[in-house]
Amino acid sequence: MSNLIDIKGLTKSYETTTALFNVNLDIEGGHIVGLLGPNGSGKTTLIKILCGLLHPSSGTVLVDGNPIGVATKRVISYLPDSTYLDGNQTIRDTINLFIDFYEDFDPNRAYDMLQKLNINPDARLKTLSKGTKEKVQLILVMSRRAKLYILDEPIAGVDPAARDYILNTIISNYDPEATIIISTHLIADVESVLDDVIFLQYGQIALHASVDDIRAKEGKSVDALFREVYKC
Amino acid sequence: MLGKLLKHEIIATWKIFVLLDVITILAGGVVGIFGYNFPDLDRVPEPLAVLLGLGFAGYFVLLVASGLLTLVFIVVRYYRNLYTAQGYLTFTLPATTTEILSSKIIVSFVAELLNFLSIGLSVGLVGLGFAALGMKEYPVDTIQVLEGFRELWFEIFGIDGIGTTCLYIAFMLISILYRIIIFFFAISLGQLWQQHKVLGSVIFYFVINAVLSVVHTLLNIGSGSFSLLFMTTYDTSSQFFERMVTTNTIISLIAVIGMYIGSILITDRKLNLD
Amino acid sequence: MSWDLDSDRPIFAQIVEHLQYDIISGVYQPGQKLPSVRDLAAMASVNPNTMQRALSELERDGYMHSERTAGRFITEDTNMIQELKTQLATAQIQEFLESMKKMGLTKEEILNLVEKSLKE
Repeated sequence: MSNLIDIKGLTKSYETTTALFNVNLDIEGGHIVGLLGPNGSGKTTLIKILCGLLHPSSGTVLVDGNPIGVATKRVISYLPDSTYLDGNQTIRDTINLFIDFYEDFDPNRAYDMLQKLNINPDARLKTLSKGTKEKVQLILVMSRRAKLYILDEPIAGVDPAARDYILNTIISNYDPEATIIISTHLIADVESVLDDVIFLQYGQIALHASVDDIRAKEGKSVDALFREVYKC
Repeated sequence: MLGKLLKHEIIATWKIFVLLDVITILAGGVVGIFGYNFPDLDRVPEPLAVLLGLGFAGYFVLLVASGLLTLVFIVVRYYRNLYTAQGYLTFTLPATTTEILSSKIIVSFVAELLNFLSIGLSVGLVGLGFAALGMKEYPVDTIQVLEGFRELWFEIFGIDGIGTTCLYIAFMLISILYRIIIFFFAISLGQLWQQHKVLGSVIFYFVINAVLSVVHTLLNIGSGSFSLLFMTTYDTSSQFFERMVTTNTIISLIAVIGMYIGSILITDRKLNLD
Repeated sequence: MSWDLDSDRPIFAQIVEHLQYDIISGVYQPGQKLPSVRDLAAMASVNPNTMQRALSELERDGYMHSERTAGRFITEDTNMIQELKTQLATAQIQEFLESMKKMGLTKEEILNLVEKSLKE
């Protein structure tokens, strides 16, 4: 059984900087993985490469055995770190778009979650508050039955109640076959949800281990370890 | 997948395009009806005459605005939907870059064409109103007038049948496509810059335009389109137009294909959404 | 976070402990059906995979059993639950005695203090 994600020798450099350098990474199916690192460590770059929004400078990236392209986009459900929906459209328009493009999208799940949050599906996206917009995006992304979910900073800048709602949505929609990658710098909040963590530092992988292994070996939380590793 | 992309591109844009076109045509109808009832300017008080003048000026501003707004909306939509945060969704759809770009180009082209036709229809309605007013006073044989137009068109442009009509229609269609695809190609080229991508696009737009104008001119001279102007041969007007239109249709078509492929290659190979 | 988990010990072990306490304290009665893995994970705000492993461990130890379609149930063997209770209580008492010894208290002193505390 091959890995869900298979990255070899991945480098992404810009004119003056190198965002990722010679990254090798395997991730299996059925894991919830935390992608951790301070700003500028290469988290978003790695995510965008997996989603096909950035092109690597060198190296190979396979998802579910395929190079990044139509086949991988079909199995990846991606939540970007910013609002990416057309504000002029209604939530229903966007749901219809997801129905048409993603075979694994379950509209009932989406409408269910919207109803629980008292969000009117006929509201135009630009009329919603930032927090509500983020929830709508998360609902859309989690209503797919994807093989790989990639969530870029899903809990940054939201209040604790919303944070609990988001984590709850992720857990209760989780399919044991799927893998979820959560990028964040707020480790303490997600730590108990993760199987594994990946620490990125200066565009390289500093650590890739399971949360419980870290706790058993180091006798401290991943959050505490993270603070040590990245102490300035 | 192209069908689905087209469907959702239309859903997201048709309201604006149809609204602009309907306003354009309605305005033409109103001005046309007005034209039919146009008073003799010598007999109306001056303030009213000024108002009428302003009304006509307003109508022409509206025509220009209709064309400009349609174009601006097309270009902004293309840029925002592909190369800003919205691109995170657009480029994570399970579709190829060729399909994504093609869907946008097709819908933009149809929108431009409809806008062009609605402006034509609008002006036609105004003309019809004034022509009807004229005919009230000086009745003429409509058939004869149309026949006269046909002859005139033949004299000047050499339009004398299906072949030449098709040539001119092809020229018109290619010109519309050519006009929008320069914008799209410039936007794609702007993406090659690390920073100031919008500024890059604007600069590229002017550069492409300048380069293509030079190419057009040189090839037109080369193909002898301008021989009439240089008095080197004794072409008739229709020969001149036919040759020029043929040359320009071919040049534009090649440029359109080149820029289409270029846009796709740049986006496919070099897409960097930061 | 509805389950109070320490941040410096493996989550898996803590979930097992938490469930054991729930069983001996009667939160889940003998023979009672447990919520689904996903619901339990959501209640605890923990990874469903870890919850699944904890439940499997408890199953292996015999504290619960799963029926193919009906779900997962607490054992009806009350003796076993009683035994677990004794075992966990003993562990706590051992720990307590250790710290008392460190403070230099004798067995009698400890016993007296405990009796006094219980009467209050």
